[in-house]
Amino acid sequence: MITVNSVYHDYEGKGYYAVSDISFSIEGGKIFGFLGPSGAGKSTVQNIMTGLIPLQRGEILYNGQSVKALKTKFFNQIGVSFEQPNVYAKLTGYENLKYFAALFSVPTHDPMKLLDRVGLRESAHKKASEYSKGMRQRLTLARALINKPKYLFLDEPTSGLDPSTAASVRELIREQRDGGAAVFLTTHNMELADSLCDTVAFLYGGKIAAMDSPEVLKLEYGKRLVTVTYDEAGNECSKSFDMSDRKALAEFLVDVNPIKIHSQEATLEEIFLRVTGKELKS
Amino acid sequence: MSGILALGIQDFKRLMTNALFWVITATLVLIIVLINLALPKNISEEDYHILIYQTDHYADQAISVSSEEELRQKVKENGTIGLLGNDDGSITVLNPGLSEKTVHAIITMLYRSSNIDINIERLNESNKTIPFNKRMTPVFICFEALIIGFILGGVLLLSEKEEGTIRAMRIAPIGVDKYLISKTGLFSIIAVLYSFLMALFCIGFNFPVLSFALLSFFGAAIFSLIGLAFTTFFKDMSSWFFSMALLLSINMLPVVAYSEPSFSPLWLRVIPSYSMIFAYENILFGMGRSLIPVVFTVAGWCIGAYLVSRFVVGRYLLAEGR
Repeated sequence: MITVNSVYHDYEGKGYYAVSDISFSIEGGKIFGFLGPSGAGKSTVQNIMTGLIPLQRGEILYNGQSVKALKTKFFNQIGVSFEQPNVYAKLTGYENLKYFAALFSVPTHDPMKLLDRVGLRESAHKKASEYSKGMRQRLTLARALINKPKYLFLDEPTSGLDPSTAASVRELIREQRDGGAAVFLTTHNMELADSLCDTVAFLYGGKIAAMDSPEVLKLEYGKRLVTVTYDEAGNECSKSFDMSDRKALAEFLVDVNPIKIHSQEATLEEIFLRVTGKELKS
Repeated sequence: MSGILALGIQDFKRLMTNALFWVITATLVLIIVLINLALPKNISEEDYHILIYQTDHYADQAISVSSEEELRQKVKENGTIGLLGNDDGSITVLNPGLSEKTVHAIITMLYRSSNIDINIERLNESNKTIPFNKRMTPVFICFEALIIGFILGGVLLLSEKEEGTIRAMRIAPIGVDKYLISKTGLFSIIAVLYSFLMALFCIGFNFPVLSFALLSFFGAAIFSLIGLAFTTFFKDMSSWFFSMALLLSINMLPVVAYSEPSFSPLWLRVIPSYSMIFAYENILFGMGRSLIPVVFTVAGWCIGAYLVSRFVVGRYLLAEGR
């Protein structure tokens, strides 16, 4: 379990906090989504959690042990996929994974099987410098998984991927969760968060603006709507009704010639807009 | 151990694809050719006369000139020694810039009692003259093979920074010791190989191999460790290259003392390559000097460089934030 308590970070030491009062916890076998636009402080929190940035104020615990007291061996249990793919360009995809696999003192995956899972088997013996950005992104993800991590940190894991590859990456992430890993997912892709996360936190201006499961957030902040598409003098028009206002919907349906009727719930994107007053754009 | 080996092997693969590695390897071949074919065997056979004016010292190589002006002019032009007899009976030694020690040694030889034969005994065990070109081999070993880790270690480290892979290393269970030992070990092995090639093709194989290999291995380790610590403070190749070249130039200064052994001030002796050039000379040409001081010097440098590098690389490169 990862516990984050009241974490603050000031890059310049001038009293301006990039992130402030960040608190949450992630249990094993759960995916925690950290959502927010670029510059909200998502990567800062991830970097503090993985020890890449020193913890200035607050507390981060891995099964009760402070991040400040972690020994080198602990990093056998962590896997990190960075937003910017960072692999050895002059080594092949296979060599990259083999190289990192040898650094761990715990059982690791077979590099070739992992490359197969991320769709890189055929390019396994090509130099990483010849990979496209999406391929390097997948290689970075495979590297993060090589040591069967107990704590998995993923920063925009589907960024720049085509829909089919993004779907297989999603499946891979679900498998890690099902295997008991605590997954920390950083993204501004609300669709990805909605489909994967057990809990999401909206980060805006360095602070958590809302945090709960996607379902609860939708119930709390979103409206369930019914949209009626109807014919009006040969033109297709549509009108939405709050699902709780059934009387208005019934009266409207009597007066028009309906073509389609759809029920719909608020998206996380709309909820983010409602909570923060800002659109979630990268 | 497997981590160290894996790092070393992958670093070697990365080296194979690095252009600078092949430039250094080509330089090795060039130096071997240079020593064997281009450098003269003796650079002092053209003119080693002593010029004299108004002195009573005569020897086979002494040439008398007709005026003080001519004496001064010829000493300047020929870079030789002139003895000028003064009116009060004293002698002024005109020379092209020799150290005081050397001049005193010459004068002591010249003005010994004339009825004593003067013999010259060489102190090297093989008791033969070392040709100039062969004598330069230790210099080239020090400034080509040994510094390979300084340059290429820096190149690999900077590419890890530029590619961002250093961030992945930071969250891997590797530790600074494995990181340093893998890279230093790799470059030391390459340095031993290159030194052997240079010695073999320039001098032959008639020298104590074990001493030579140990000196090359640990000498290269010193430069690799210093190089890694030094490079840690740079972000990219362009800012690093000039500073690296400057530092290597300073490291080359002991070649002055090797050419003119009487010039060996303390500041020159503390440069690591100083001890190593003379140690190679001692090993390759059988000079008969004790190697114990070299062992202590190299061990001291190794330990010091490792501790400094461990602190710098650990603190500023690998464990940033931990």
